[in-house]
Amino acid sequence: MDAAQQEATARARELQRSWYGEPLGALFRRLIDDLGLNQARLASVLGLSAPMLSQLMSGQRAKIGNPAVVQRVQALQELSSQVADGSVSAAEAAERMEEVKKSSGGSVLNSTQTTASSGAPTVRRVVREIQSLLRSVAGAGDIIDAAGTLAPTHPELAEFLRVYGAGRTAEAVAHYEAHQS
Amino acid sequence: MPGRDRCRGSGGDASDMGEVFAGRYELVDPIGRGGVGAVWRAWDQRRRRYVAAKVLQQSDAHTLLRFVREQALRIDHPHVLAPMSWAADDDKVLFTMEMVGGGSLAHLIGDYGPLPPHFVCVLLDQLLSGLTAVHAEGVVHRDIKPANLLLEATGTGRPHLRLSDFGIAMRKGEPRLTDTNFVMGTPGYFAPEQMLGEEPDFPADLFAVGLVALYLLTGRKPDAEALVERFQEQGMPNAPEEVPAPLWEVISSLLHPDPYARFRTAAGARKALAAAVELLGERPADEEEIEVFDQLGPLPPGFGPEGPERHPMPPPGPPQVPPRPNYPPTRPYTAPQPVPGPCRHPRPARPRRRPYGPRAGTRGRRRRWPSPC
Repeated sequence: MDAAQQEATARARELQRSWYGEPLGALFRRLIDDLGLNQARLASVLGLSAPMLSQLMSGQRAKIGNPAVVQRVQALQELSSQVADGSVSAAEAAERMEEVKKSSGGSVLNSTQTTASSGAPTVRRVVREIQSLLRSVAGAGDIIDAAGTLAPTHPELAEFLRVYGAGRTAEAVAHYEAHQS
Repeated sequence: MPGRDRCRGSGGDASDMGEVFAGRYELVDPIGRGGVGAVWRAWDQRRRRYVAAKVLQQSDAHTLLRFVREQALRIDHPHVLAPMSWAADDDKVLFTMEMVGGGSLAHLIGDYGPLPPHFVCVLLDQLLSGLTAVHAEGVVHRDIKPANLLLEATGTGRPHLRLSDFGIAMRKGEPRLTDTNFVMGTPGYFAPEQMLGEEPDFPADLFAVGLVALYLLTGRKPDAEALVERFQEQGMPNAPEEVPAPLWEVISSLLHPDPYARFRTAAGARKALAAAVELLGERPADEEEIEVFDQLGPLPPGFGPEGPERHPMPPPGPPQVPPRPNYPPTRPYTAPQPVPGPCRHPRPARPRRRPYGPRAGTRGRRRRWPSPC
């Protein structure tokens, strides 16, 4: 590698650090280790071709062009941290990776929905679980009643019950995202 | 005549690697998977070159067989990748095509997301020019979608698209073999009239071109059904954010739900596209460079650019008799080894060799000599 190339690679890594938190070589290698993958499998989950993955990792190319791939990278990062702290088992992680692989940008025409639904498949999943848990405990009518009772003294809790127990999923996702640190 | 090569071999799944199909095509490594069969890189022992080989079950191969017999030789076009020949072997059929190394448009979108309009216009122009040649032969492709649009590995040069996979193509006006209620094609890329079971016609292919265009410009798979619904309820939808107005004029006309209001010919659409490109303006200087990678990867060990390294060409002379101990030929020939370990029953003495090739009445099948162990 000549000096100009080395410089270009260093610049690409710097850009990657500012866009993705760290150079993609390190980021992808950690995903490979934590999730028990190899490069070919990681490429397939992310929806990248093997040569593109390798160019990104080596810093020959700086930017991930496809926004859907960026979202999948984020979803895998989240998953790998959950695997690392033991909150997700290996079998479950494999299942979640299949979901990540299938997640796409959504439909062209409904661009308003696209941002909401493609934003984070995992967030949606978590929200759905909270919703179904709440609704398995009580019906929507009861939850609204309870929220009404709580509202004067504990408005935030009332809001929580109303949004997850009786609101639309999009509303719940927005609530979840607003309260994520 | 490849049909004469019918003898023994196999083809299909990973265990077939290294086998010789129909005595001619050595399967090297799997390079893709279509709707119904696997695609292999294969070494053509007769022509001494690598080809792409699609291996289908005979039951899935009828349409393609007919296409190859009737059309393939006539559609010789730089943007069409039609099967060159075929060979049958037991219950499978292998179709050969030129090797095209740059992956498909689906790979390209995976790697880059939405593509720059100028780049998309080059691809669409090539697609429409290939489609013009296909339609000129009276053939409706019926399965135009990103995964069937392959690219030569041109790197950062001008892209080169090849329209491929004629697996469900038909001649216009020909009676359909399948039940008329059974819609052929790929969900998501149907024209509305195709959904209604109308006779296949060229405008259905043009609708699919419109969907491909939208997919390339937005980086997302278009929702054909929602699109048609919107069109029927409110007229032509507005251009999606990523689609420049002059291009949308052309694409929305390709996407018209009424096939009679759509472009009628690929050549007509191509002309309109060329006019739209004139209105696009200059390519922005900071546009990301699109590189079409070689997606094939290196040849596996044992294969070189000149073919398998482990089977040197037999010297010309009297026909060689294949070595029996390694039959069927799943591995390079090695001298027979005494069977080690617990097997106390050596195989029975092998019979005299027969000449290579099928024997009358056996249709190429040979029995394997059973080992008593």
